[in-house]
Amino acid sequence: MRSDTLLFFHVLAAMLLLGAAATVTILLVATARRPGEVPRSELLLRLAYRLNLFVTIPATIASIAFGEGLKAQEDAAGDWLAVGTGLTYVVVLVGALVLHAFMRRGLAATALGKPPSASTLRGAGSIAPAIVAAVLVIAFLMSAKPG
Amino acid sequence: MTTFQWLLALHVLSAFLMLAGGVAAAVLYFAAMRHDRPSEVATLLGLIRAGVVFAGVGSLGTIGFGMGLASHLGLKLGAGWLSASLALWIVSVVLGGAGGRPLRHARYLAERLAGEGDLPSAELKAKVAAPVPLVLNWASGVAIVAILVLMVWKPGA
Repeated sequence: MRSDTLLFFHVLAAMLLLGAAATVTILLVATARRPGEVPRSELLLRLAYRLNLFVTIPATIASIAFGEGLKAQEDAAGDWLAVGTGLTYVVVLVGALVLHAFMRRGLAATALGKPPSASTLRGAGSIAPAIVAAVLVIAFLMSAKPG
Repeated sequence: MTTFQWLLALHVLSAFLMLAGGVAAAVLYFAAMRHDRPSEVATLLGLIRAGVVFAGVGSLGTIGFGMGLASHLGLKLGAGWLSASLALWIVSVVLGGAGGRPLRHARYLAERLAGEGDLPSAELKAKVAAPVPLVLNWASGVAIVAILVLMVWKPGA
């Protein structure tokens, strides 16, 4: 596959990943603002859960796969690439998987008619914006290539 | 870091924000289409505003830093891929804005109905699932992806 094609799908996947992570953040903030409203919490949390499972995680994997292909083809190297790749694996990929576990726990509570616990919402509510921030930092490093 | 690196990074970051806002708005819009209770529809359509803020800031940054980058590199705005990108950016913003207006009216209706018993309404369903805003928002999204295609391949450059 040509570099341009790999670059296009790499960037498109990263943009979808940011969009999904930002939407999950918006939904989690809205859930946290309605602590006593179980049906509304379930609606928002379920949407966030599905979005993370069906868009954030696959888009992360696609972005990594196309990025690795691009790296191999262009023989790229540098601190910007090492830091960007590290953030992708450690913060974005692991973060999305941990976020999945937190939201699953929150949904299990709402299925029993209880609101998601404060620790669940705090955990999920801190990971989602961290993923958004990490993607923005990675996009900055990958485009500016400092150093 | 050089001026070029700053302009390029800020241009790309803005493009990420623009598309992320579009994704957020689309997801919440489609979710609202799948619900009947006015309070749920009002909640989901209300959250679209956060996505619109992302998209708005991203759109302005994309065009501002993009023009700065083109000027810094001495690129002529008459170049095919660049003028096509500019035209698509305008199309995307105009269609996105036009597609958002009917949804704002649908949210007002959903908020009113939520306060009047929160019963499903055929009028609200028709407003949320109306084909015109759906087509306008899809077209706006397609225009953004087309801009990305032009930016990556730069045909004719």
